[in-house]
Amino acid sequence: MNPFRSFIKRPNKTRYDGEDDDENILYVLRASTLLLLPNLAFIILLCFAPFVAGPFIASFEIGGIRVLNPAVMFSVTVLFYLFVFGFALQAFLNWFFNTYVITDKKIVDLDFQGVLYKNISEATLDNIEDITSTVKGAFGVVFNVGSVFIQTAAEKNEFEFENVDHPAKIRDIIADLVAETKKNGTIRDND
Amino acid sequence: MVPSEITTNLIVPLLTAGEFVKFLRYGILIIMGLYVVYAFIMLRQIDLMNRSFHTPLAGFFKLLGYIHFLLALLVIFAGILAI
Repeated sequence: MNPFRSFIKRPNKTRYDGEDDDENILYVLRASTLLLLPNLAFIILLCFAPFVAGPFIASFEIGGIRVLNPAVMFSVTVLFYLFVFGFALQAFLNWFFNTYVITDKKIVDLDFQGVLYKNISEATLDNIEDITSTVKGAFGVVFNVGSVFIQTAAEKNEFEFENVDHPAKIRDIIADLVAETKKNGTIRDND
Repeated sequence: MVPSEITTNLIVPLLTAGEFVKFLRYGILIIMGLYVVYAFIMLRQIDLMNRSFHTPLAGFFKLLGYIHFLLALLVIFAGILAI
Protein backbone atom coordinates (compact mmCIF):
# COMPACT_ATOMS: atom_id res chain seq x y z
CA MET A 1 0.00 0.00 0.00
CA ASN A 2 1.42 3.36 -1.05
CA PRO A 3 1.02 5.70 1.97
CA PHE A 4 1.32 8.82 -0.20
CA ARG A 5 -1.87 8.32 -2.20
CA SER A 6 -4.41 11.08 -1.82
CA PHE A 7 -7.26 9.41 -3.76
CA ILE A 8 -8.06 5.79 -2.97
CA LYS A 9 -10.99 3.89 -4.42
CA ARG A 10 -12.40 1.01 -2.34
CA PRO A 11 -9.50 0.77 0.13
CA ASN A 12 -8.69 -2.61 1.65
CA LYS A 13 -8.80 -3.32 5.39
CA THR A 14 -9.76 0.26 6.18
CA ARG A 15 -12.43 1.32 8.65
CA TYR A 16 -13.29 4.40 10.63
CA ASP A 17 -14.55 4.86 14.16
CA GLY A 18 -18.35 4.59 14.03
CA GLU A 19 -18.63 2.59 10.81
CA ASP A 20 -21.78 0.43 10.57
CA ASP A 21 -21.48 -3.32 9.96
CA ASP A 22 -23.29 -3.04 6.62
CA GLU A 23 -21.42 0.08 5.52
CA ASN A 24 -18.71 0.02 2.84
CA ILE A 25 -16.01 2.61 2.30
CA LEU A 26 -16.06 3.67 -1.35
CA TYR A 27 -13.39 6.38 -1.39
CA VAL A 28 -10.72 7.75 0.93
CA LEU A 29 -9.49 11.24 0.08
CA ARG A 30 -6.75 13.43 1.49
CA ALA A 31 -5.25 16.81 0.75
CA SER A 32 -2.96 16.73 -2.28
CA THR A 33 0.43 15.08 -1.73
CA LEU A 34 1.97 18.25 -3.19
CA LEU A 35 1.12 20.00 0.09
CA LEU A 36 3.76 17.88 1.80
CA LEU A 37 6.53 19.43 -0.32
CA PRO A 38 7.04 22.65 1.76
CA ASN A 39 7.45 20.50 4.89
CA LEU A 40 9.86 18.22 3.00
CA ALA A 41 11.95 21.23 1.90
CA PHE A 42 12.00 22.55 5.48
CA ILE A 43 13.10 19.12 6.80
CA ILE A 44 15.94 18.91 4.25
CA LEU A 45 17.02 22.41 5.31
CA LEU A 46 16.94 21.40 8.98
CA CYS A 47 19.12 18.35 8.24
CA PHE A 48 21.94 20.67 7.13
CA ALA A 49 21.54 23.12 10.05
CA PRO A 50 23.98 21.33 12.43
CA PHE A 51 26.74 21.52 9.79
CA VAL A 52 26.28 25.29 9.58
CA ALA A 53 25.46 26.21 13.19
CA GLY A 54 27.33 23.36 14.93
CA PRO A 55 30.85 24.86 14.89
CA PHE A 56 29.58 28.21 16.27
CA ILE A 57 27.55 26.55 19.04
CA ALA A 58 30.39 24.17 19.91
CA SER A 59 32.83 27.06 20.34
CA PHE A 60 30.55 29.02 22.71
CA GLU A 61 32.46 29.65 25.96
CA ILE A 62 31.66 31.31 29.27
CA GLY A 63 34.60 32.29 31.47
CA GLY A 64 36.90 30.12 29.39
CA ILE A 65 34.70 27.02 29.87
CA ARG A 66 33.07 25.39 26.85
CA VAL A 67 29.30 25.17 27.40
CA LEU A 68 28.98 22.17 25.12
CA ASN A 69 31.87 19.76 25.46
CA PRO A 70 32.09 17.10 22.70
CA ALA A 71 29.92 14.60 24.63
CA VAL A 72 27.16 17.18 25.32
CA MET A 73 27.45 18.46 21.75
CA PHE A 74 26.91 14.92 20.45
CA SER A 75 23.78 14.50 22.64
CA VAL A 76 22.40 17.86 21.51
CA THR A 77 23.03 16.99 17.83
CA VAL A 78 21.26 13.62 18.21
CA LEU A 79 18.37 15.39 20.00
CA PHE A 80 18.16 17.85 17.12
CA TYR A 81 17.95 15.08 14.50
CA LEU A 82 15.37 13.31 16.66
CA PHE A 83 13.39 16.55 16.72
CA VAL A 84 13.60 16.67 12.89
CA PHE A 85 12.38 13.06 12.73
CA GLY A 86 9.54 13.89 15.16
CA PHE A 87 8.58 16.94 13.11
CA ALA A 88 8.55 14.88 9.89
CA LEU A 89 6.49 12.12 11.52
CA GLN A 90 4.01 14.64 12.97
CA ALA A 91 3.63 16.42 9.61
CA PHE A 92 3.07 13.14 7.79
CA LEU A 93 0.57 11.83 10.37
CA ASN A 94 -1.37 15.11 10.26
CA TRP A 95 -1.61 14.80 6.48
CA PHE A 96 -2.35 11.07 6.45
CA PHE A 97 -5.10 11.12 9.08
CA ASN A 98 -6.82 14.34 7.98
CA THR A 99 -9.02 12.25 5.79
CA TYR A 100 -12.33 12.52 3.96
CA VAL A 101 -14.17 9.23 3.76
CA ILE A 102 -17.03 8.57 1.37
CA THR A 103 -19.04 5.46 2.17
CA ASP A 104 -22.22 4.06 0.63
CA LYS A 105 -24.15 5.80 3.43
CA LYS A 106 -22.22 8.87 4.56
CA ILE A 107 -19.43 11.32 4.06
CA VAL A 108 -17.06 11.59 7.02
CA ASP A 109 -14.51 14.32 7.71
CA LEU A 110 -11.74 13.29 10.13
CA ASP A 111 -9.68 16.20 11.46
CA PHE A 112 -6.57 15.94 13.58
CA GLN A 113 -4.39 18.94 14.38
CA GLY A 114 -1.17 18.43 16.27
CA VAL A 115 -1.27 16.23 19.30
CA LEU A 116 -4.30 17.56 21.08
CA TYR A 117 -7.14 18.14 18.61
CA LYS A 118 -9.51 15.61 17.07
CA ASN A 119 -12.77 16.35 15.29
CA ILE A 120 -14.98 13.96 13.33
CA SER A 121 -18.00 15.16 11.36
CA GLU A 122 -20.34 13.09 9.25
CA ALA A 123 -23.44 13.55 7.12
CA THR A 124 -25.64 10.96 5.47
CA LEU A 125 -25.73 11.05 1.67
CA ASP A 126 -29.48 11.72 1.60
CA ASN A 127 -28.89 14.86 3.71
CA ILE A 128 -26.58 16.44 1.15
CA GLU A 129 -28.22 19.31 -0.70
CA ASP A 130 -25.57 21.04 -2.73
CA ILE A 131 -21.99 20.34 -3.81
CA THR A 132 -19.56 22.90 -5.15
CA SER A 133 -15.96 22.50 -6.29
CA THR A 134 -13.50 25.37 -6.45
CA VAL A 135 -10.06 25.65 -7.98
CA LYS A 136 -8.27 28.92 -7.40
CA GLY A 137 -4.81 30.44 -7.64
CA ALA A 138 -1.92 29.55 -9.92
CA PHE A 139 -0.99 26.49 -7.83
CA GLY A 140 -4.56 25.17 -7.93
CA VAL A 141 -4.99 25.71 -11.66
CA VAL A 142 -1.61 24.21 -12.61
CA PHE A 143 -1.92 21.11 -10.42
CA ASN A 144 -5.73 20.79 -10.43
CA VAL A 145 -5.94 21.13 -6.64
CA GLY A 146 -8.93 22.74 -4.98
CA SER A 147 -11.73 22.40 -2.48
CA VAL A 148 -15.13 20.74 -2.48
CA PHE A 149 -17.89 22.37 -0.41
CA ILE A 150 -20.78 20.15 0.61
CA GLN A 151 -23.95 21.80 1.88
CA THR A 152 -26.18 19.61 4.04
CA ALA A 153 -29.76 19.96 5.23
CA ALA A 154 -28.68 19.37 8.82
CA GLU A 155 -27.77 22.01 11.41
CA LYS A 156 -24.06 21.69 10.59
CA ASN A 157 -24.11 23.74 7.44
CA GLU A 158 -21.10 22.79 5.37
CA PHE A 159 -18.36 20.23 4.87
CA GLU A 160 -15.18 21.30 3.18
CA PHE A 161 -12.77 18.90 1.53
CA GLU A 162 -9.74 21.19 1.41
CA ASN A 163 -6.90 21.15 -1.13
CA VAL A 164 -7.88 17.84 -2.72
CA ASP A 165 -6.66 16.60 -6.11
CA HIS A 166 -9.26 16.63 -8.92
CA PRO A 167 -12.02 18.52 -7.02
CA ALA A 168 -14.41 18.46 -10.01
CA LYS A 169 -14.14 14.66 -10.24
CA ILE A 170 -14.83 14.35 -6.50
CA ARG A 171 -17.84 16.68 -6.79
CA ASP A 172 -19.17 14.52 -9.63
CA ILE A 173 -18.65 11.28 -7.66
CA ILE A 174 -20.47 12.64 -4.60
CA ALA A 175 -23.26 14.12 -6.71
CA ASP A 176 -23.83 10.74 -8.42
CA LEU A 177 -23.87 8.92 -5.07
CA VAL A 178 -26.31 11.44 -3.60
CA ALA A 179 -28.59 11.16 -6.65
CA GLU A 180 -28.53 7.36 -6.47
CA THR A 181 -29.27 7.37 -2.73
CA LYS A 182 -32.17 9.77 -3.14
CA LYS A 183 -33.55 7.71 -6.04
CA ASN A 184 -33.07 4.15 -4.74
CA GLY A 185 -32.60 4.72 -1.02
CA THR A 186 -29.24 2.93 -1.19
CA ILE A 187 -26.06 2.57 -3.27
CA ARG A 188 -25.91 -0.51 -5.49
CA ASP A 189 -22.71 -2.48 -4.97
CA ASN A 190 -20.97 -1.89 -8.28
CA ASP A 191 -17.77 -0.24 -9.43
CA MET B 1 22.35 45.76 26.84
CA VAL B 2 23.20 42.97 24.36
CA PRO B 3 22.75 39.30 25.43
CA SER B 4 26.48 38.69 25.95
CA GLU B 5 26.62 41.76 28.26
CA ILE B 6 23.63 40.42 30.22
CA THR B 7 25.50 37.12 30.67
CA THR B 8 28.75 38.84 31.69
CA ASN B 9 27.39 41.70 33.81
CA LEU B 10 24.27 40.27 35.45
CA ILE B 11 24.31 36.48 35.57
CA VAL B 12 27.99 35.56 35.80
CA PRO B 13 28.62 37.69 38.94
CA LEU B 14 25.83 35.76 40.72
CA LEU B 15 27.28 32.37 39.71
CA THR B 16 30.78 31.27 38.90
CA ALA B 17 31.42 30.50 35.23
CA GLY B 18 31.49 26.76 36.03
CA GLU B 19 28.14 26.95 37.85
CA PHE B 20 26.57 28.88 35.00
CA VAL B 21 27.76 26.33 32.42
CA LYS B 22 26.34 23.56 34.63
CA PHE B 23 23.05 25.51 34.84
CA LEU B 24 22.91 25.69 31.01
CA ARG B 25 23.66 21.97 30.67
CA TYR B 26 20.85 21.10 33.11
CA GLY B 27 18.62 23.28 30.92
CA ILE B 28 19.52 21.07 27.96
CA LEU B 29 18.67 18.02 30.05
CA ILE B 30 15.24 19.51 30.89
CA ILE B 31 14.61 20.06 27.15
CA MET B 32 15.51 16.40 26.54
CA GLY B 33 13.06 15.38 29.31
CA LEU B 34 10.30 17.49 27.76
CA TYR B 35 10.98 15.82 24.41
CA VAL B 36 10.48 12.39 26.01
CA VAL B 37 7.07 13.61 27.25
CA TYR B 38 6.24 14.86 23.73
CA ALA B 39 7.33 11.51 22.20
CA PHE B 40 5.07 9.69 24.68
CA ILE B 41 2.11 11.95 23.82
CA MET B 42 2.78 11.29 20.12
CA LEU B 43 2.67 7.56 20.84
CA ARG B 44 -0.78 7.99 22.42
CA GLN B 45 -1.83 10.21 19.50
CA ILE B 46 -0.87 7.53 16.96
CA ASP B 47 -2.92 5.02 18.95
CA LEU B 48 -5.91 7.39 18.94
CA MET B 49 -5.55 8.10 15.21
CA ASN B 50 -5.30 4.38 14.41
CA ARG B 51 -8.47 3.71 16.39
CA SER B 52 -10.33 6.58 14.70
CA PHE B 53 -9.20 5.59 11.22
CA HIS B 54 -7.76 2.11 10.88
CA THR B 55 -5.64 1.34 7.80
CA PRO B 56 -3.24 -1.50 6.88
CA LEU B 57 -0.42 0.89 7.87
CA ALA B 58 -1.57 1.11 11.51
CA GLY B 59 1.17 -1.27 12.72
CA PHE B 60 3.85 0.62 10.81
CA PHE B 61 2.84 3.96 12.37
CA LYS B 62 2.82 2.37 15.81
CA LEU B 63 6.33 1.02 15.18
CA LEU B 64 7.56 4.49 14.11
CA GLY B 65 6.02 5.98 17.26
CA TYR B 66 7.78 3.42 19.48
CA ILE B 67 11.13 3.95 17.69
CA HIS B 68 10.73 7.72 18.19
CA PHE B 69 9.93 7.27 21.90
CA LEU B 70 12.81 4.82 22.48
CA LEU B 71 15.27 7.13 20.70
CA ALA B 72 14.06 10.03 22.92
CA LEU B 73 14.74 7.85 26.00
CA LEU B 74 18.20 6.91 24.65
CA VAL B 75 19.02 10.59 24.02
CA ILE B 76 18.12 11.59 27.58
CA PHE B 77 20.23 8.74 28.96
CA ALA B 78 23.13 9.82 26.74
CA GLY B 79 22.54 13.39 27.94
CA ILE B 80 22.63 12.34 31.62
CA LEU B 81 25.90 10.46 31.01
CA ALA B 82 27.42 13.38 29.08
CA ILE B 83 26.38 16.07 31.60
